[in-house]
Amino acid sequence: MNACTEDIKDILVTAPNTYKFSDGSDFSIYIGKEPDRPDKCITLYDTGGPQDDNVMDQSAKTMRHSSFQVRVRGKNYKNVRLQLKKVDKIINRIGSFTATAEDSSETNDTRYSDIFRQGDLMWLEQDDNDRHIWIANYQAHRKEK
Amino acid sequence: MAVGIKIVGLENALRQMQMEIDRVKRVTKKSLIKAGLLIQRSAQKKTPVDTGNLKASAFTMWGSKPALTGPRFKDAGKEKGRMIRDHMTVTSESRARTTLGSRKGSPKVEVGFSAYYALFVHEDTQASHVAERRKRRGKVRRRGKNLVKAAVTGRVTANNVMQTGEAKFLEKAVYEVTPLISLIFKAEDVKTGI
Repeated sequence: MNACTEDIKDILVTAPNTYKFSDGSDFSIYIGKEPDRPDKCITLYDTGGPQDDNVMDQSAKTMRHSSFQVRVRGKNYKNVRLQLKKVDKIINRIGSFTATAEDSSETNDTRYSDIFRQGDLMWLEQDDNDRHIWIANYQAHRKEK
Repeated sequence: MAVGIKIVGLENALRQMQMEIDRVKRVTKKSLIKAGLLIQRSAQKKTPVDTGNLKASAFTMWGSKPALTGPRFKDAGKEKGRMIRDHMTVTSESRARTTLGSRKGSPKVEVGFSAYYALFVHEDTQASHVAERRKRRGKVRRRGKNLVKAAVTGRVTANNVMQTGEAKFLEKAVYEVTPLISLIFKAEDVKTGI
């Protein structure tokens, strides 16, 4: 089972005419740490989530409720919001899907049953370099296949 | 042939039932308050600390009861007045909401932080909440400001830096305490059980 952000990154990167992963271009995607440059970027964070569902059957896979945050940064307030809306649209359209384990240490694929946004898109702050930051929080329901 | 049925003790049964309903209401409210305070305590442990005002602005509100103690804000950056004003506004709004819930028969408890910047600190997952650990007269002193400068000069190393909290401090506290809530209800029920 990959980290939730890894799977979401894969979806955003494979969506047509959208994003690139960590290549320094405008609105490319990063995981875990927002770089100083470029000004325009999208960063995904794993933010934990509630306890797994308890099941009586020990051999059954438990449902996990992983939360993640999408953080978009850029110079223009409106453009940054629109970019986050675009990401939000892609995530909302996903529905249920199966993510393939990429890392050799992660042996099992993951079945996502639902991803939903918690609350509305939110402007967080303007950083020291006058770049606007917008965020959205999500929760994914998933289990090992 | 007519058969008459006489029910004896109906009033008594209704009275017993009402007593049981009242007991359940009392248990529910008490347990909710306990759960709320537990969430507050857990969240405060995870709250990033610079001046300590954010941590101090935590509150748990239930019904018309006032908060146990008012927070003692520090006058860092002359923000003490604003912090006190915000705290009074936020907690009185919360008190109104929870009182309304209690009057309608559904007890409600609210846990939150009144500091005006609480939301930004809570949601800022990129921020690194570390401070320099310095020993002076045997006491560990936290130092958040000028940390970058200190790191550049080489005074700060991986060994003397400490974590002073994390983003999503309230959300994580809720996730942490949620599995315990049913146990709190059970314990309170056993305590007041007839």
